[in-house]
Amino acid sequence: MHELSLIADVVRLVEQDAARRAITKISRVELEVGELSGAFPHALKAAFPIASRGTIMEDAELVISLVKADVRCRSCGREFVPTKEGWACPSCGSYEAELRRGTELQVVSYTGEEGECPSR
Amino acid sequence: MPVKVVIGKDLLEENRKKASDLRKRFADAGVKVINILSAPGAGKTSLLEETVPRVRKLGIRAGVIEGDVATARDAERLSPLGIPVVQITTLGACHLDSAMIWTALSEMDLSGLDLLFIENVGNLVCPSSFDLGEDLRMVVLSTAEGSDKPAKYPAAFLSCQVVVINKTDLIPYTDFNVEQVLAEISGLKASIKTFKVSCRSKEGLDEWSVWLADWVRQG
Repeated sequence: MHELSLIADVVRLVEQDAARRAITKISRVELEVGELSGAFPHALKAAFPIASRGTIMEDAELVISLVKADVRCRSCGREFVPTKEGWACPSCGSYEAELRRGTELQVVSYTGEEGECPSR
Repeated sequence: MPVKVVIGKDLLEENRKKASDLRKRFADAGVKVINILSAPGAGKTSLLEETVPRVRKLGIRAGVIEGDVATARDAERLSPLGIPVVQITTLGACHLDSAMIWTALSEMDLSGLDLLFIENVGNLVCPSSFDLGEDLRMVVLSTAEGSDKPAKYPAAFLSCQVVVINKTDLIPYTDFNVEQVLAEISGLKASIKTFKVSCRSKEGLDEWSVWLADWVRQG
């Protein structure tokens, strides 16, 4: 439900990083979003044109990879992907899943054009 | 020439940093902190109204930070308790974050407290992603919401240590299946401690409050 503010953070973060590298136009921004992050890719995509308007990433493509939940059993150490039916460990049956992946909200990378800064 | 820049920055990093500052501040002040999550109307405020006087009798001094989207009504409800209450009105935001808590602390004297409740915005999705520097996270689940909440909102339940099932007095009028819910909760995470209470019939409130006071005292 807070996708607009998350995307505003993405825009700010990428703008700051690009300013340090003298990048003046951005064509693509890549995010990783966990399925348990509470943020929905379609809402992030809908918010991006609004948040990026008037910035160097206006009209950029927003690419989102969805990260599946991936857990590790605290009892026996087995790594597994929980199913809709439950979070029991397929090896020992215990319910002590430690989330390893699935909650990320990460700006992975962006693609841009360098401005007039030939020293780089 | 297009250049690809790999930055790998976590969007919640700022929140986590501030939460870790908060955790240190709470520990230095000797205050235990509970972050309360629930869907709207599950009874977070009612549970506080019942819990605060009970733990006070057990020697625990509590304060509350109230998170609401639009009004100060919950803080007003708590004012007869005579404890420090700070209201955060999020103006539409769906969760509290650690920066909001940091700001609210300028109005709260931690030195007179043993326990601080943070009543989050009623929402089981977004608040689960935001660490507020708490020692314990609990979910309040009311029987009128149905039995499938744990399966539908795994992130909230996986992130908590305690679940309080409220409105047990309504069970005869609903399809709520206590056994199924307890099984679903422990099916997500076996270590979650559960309590069954009713803020109307007062069932289970003493047992919950005694456990809570013991937890606070454990230091």
